[in-house]
Amino acid sequence: MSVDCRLTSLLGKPKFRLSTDISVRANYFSPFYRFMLEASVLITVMCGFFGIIFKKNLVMKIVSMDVMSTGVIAYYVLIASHHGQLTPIVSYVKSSVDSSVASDVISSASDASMSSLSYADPVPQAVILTAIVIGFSIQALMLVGVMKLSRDHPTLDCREIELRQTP
Amino acid sequence: MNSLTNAFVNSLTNSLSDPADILTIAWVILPFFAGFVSYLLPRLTRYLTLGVAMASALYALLLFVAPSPLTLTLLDHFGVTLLLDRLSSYFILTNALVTAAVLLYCWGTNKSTFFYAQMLIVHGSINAAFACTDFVSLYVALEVSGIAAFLLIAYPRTDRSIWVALRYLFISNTAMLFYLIGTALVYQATQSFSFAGLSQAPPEAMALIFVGLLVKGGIFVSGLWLPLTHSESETPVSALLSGIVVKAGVYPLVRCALLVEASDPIVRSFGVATALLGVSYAVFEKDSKRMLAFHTVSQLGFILAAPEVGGFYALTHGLVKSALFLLAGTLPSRSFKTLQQQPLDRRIWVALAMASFSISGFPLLSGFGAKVLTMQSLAAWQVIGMNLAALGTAISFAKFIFLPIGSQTAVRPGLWAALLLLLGGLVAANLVYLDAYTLANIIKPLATIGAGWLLYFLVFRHSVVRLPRLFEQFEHLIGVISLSLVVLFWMAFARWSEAIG
Repeated sequence: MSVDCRLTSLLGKPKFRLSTDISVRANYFSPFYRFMLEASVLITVMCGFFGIIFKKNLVMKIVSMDVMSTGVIAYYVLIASHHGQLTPIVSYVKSSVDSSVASDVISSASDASMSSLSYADPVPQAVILTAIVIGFSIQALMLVGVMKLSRDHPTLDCREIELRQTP
Repeated sequence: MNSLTNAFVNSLTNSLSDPADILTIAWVILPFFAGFVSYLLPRLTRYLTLGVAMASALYALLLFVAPSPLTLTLLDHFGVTLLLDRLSSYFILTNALVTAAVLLYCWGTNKSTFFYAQMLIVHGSINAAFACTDFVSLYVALEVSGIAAFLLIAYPRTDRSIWVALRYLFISNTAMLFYLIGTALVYQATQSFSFAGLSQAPPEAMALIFVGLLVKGGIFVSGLWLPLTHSESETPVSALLSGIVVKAGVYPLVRCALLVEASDPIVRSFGVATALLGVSYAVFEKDSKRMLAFHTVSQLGFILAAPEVGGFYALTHGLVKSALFLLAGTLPSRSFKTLQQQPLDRRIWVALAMASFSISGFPLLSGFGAKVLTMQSLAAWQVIGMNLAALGTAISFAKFIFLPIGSQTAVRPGLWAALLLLLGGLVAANLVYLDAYTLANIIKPLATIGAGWLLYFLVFRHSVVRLPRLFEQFEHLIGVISLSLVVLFWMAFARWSEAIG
């Protein structure tokens, strides 16, 4: 659910028509739906966090951290969609967005009419893009480290590695 | 579309009309630029690093004499905000001096360009962390410093160094994920990322952000990753980590305490708690590098216990601790027991004693002024705890002061250059606060040191107590993050409900 929401806002316009998409419409009207989304984001974060603690395998721990960061990213996208779901790109090109909306953009690109459309807030999305990149590079580094560690002593068990490496 | 672009460019140029602002931006960018250039011109790397450190020192001195604090808001209310004043100038000066000293120490060794480039990037990202007052810039700065520190720790490529680096990055990244959630909550409440927005944000935002900063800064139980990381790294890297990298997590806490009234008591109480925790481990420690690392945990508490004068304390601690780590690296052994049987070189002992006296608060060195300032700015409920912590400091550094003297050992010239800079800085910084020299102020630290030495000879010299390392295990460290989150939430909630009704 949260991944769907993340894809919609991050990867650009949805392929489906806005007016017929259930998730978007429900999100517009129902605070209950927002609450459910928020709850599932929180559950994702918690799943990741407990995975870090309870998984014994070091690679699984890193994957759990990725799950946790997915939850955090989804939370930013959720906050960005507080006032609307439209991708915040002002464009003159006719696109796959609902034709009536697109023509609205073309007819008046002034600030007043822009604010009347319900765009998603671009600031959290821009911020979380930075965080995604940083998270990526950190995970890559950590996986390289784990590979190097497990080459000499072929184990991925976190406790065993820790026991061996702590003085 | 054009109007949008124009508005963007205008807001950027308007905010950069002042030459001081342009200088600031140039200073923030310089280390990163130099870091990448050094790959193209590997022979110039060391000179570039030295130049960048000197530029930072100059900039800090300029800030120090500037009449008013410098504030910069780039783009809009949700954009990047910078605030540079006396407090940040102390931290920036620490960063510059420690980087320069570590560079001088490494000058004659065969460290590769990669090592110096990472040093530049650590320097730059920490400068950025000291300049910014919005949570997102801070996040980026902290994560970049974390990655660069990871690469520095893992530089020897041994299995142990890779594990220590991996553990460090894992714990700090997990904590920073909590921090990011808190940042989102601040944005939701105030439509901006600035530190000041914390006062209008719900209490859970403060709890989440602070848990990230506490872990990153190595404070209280969530900072117990620090002893292993700092003691198992190479000598110059330990000096860098203990001298400045942890300060990047502490500085935002100090800044928040000054900007947001509700967070001030929380920061102060964590200051006392961590000062006591660190020192109680340090007095029982038998390994010199681990003792220094635990003592870092306790000294960070002194910075937090009195946020308004924390800058000066951070400067003196940064100088002393990197000098001590560099010296500990040249000692023949790490264990105090072995050291007590092996006489030291007289010159090394003098440097060691100077640093130890400064950190115990002995007059004529800047540790004295910093301790006096901190003790004067304490709230009434903090006084007993902080005096106990000061006593513990005196006890733990008696271990260094009472080492036997007498042998001759060859020492690399790089060490003397680095020590000259650091200890010279200590003596010079002493002149900043000459008002401290009153009779009452002088007697108190002398009494503390005397009592500390007495206790050392009576009790701690012979003690065989070994404190458990349970809380330093990886999984416990992660688990403790959640516990401190709960504690922080209730502390923040109490402050919040007080403010509401």
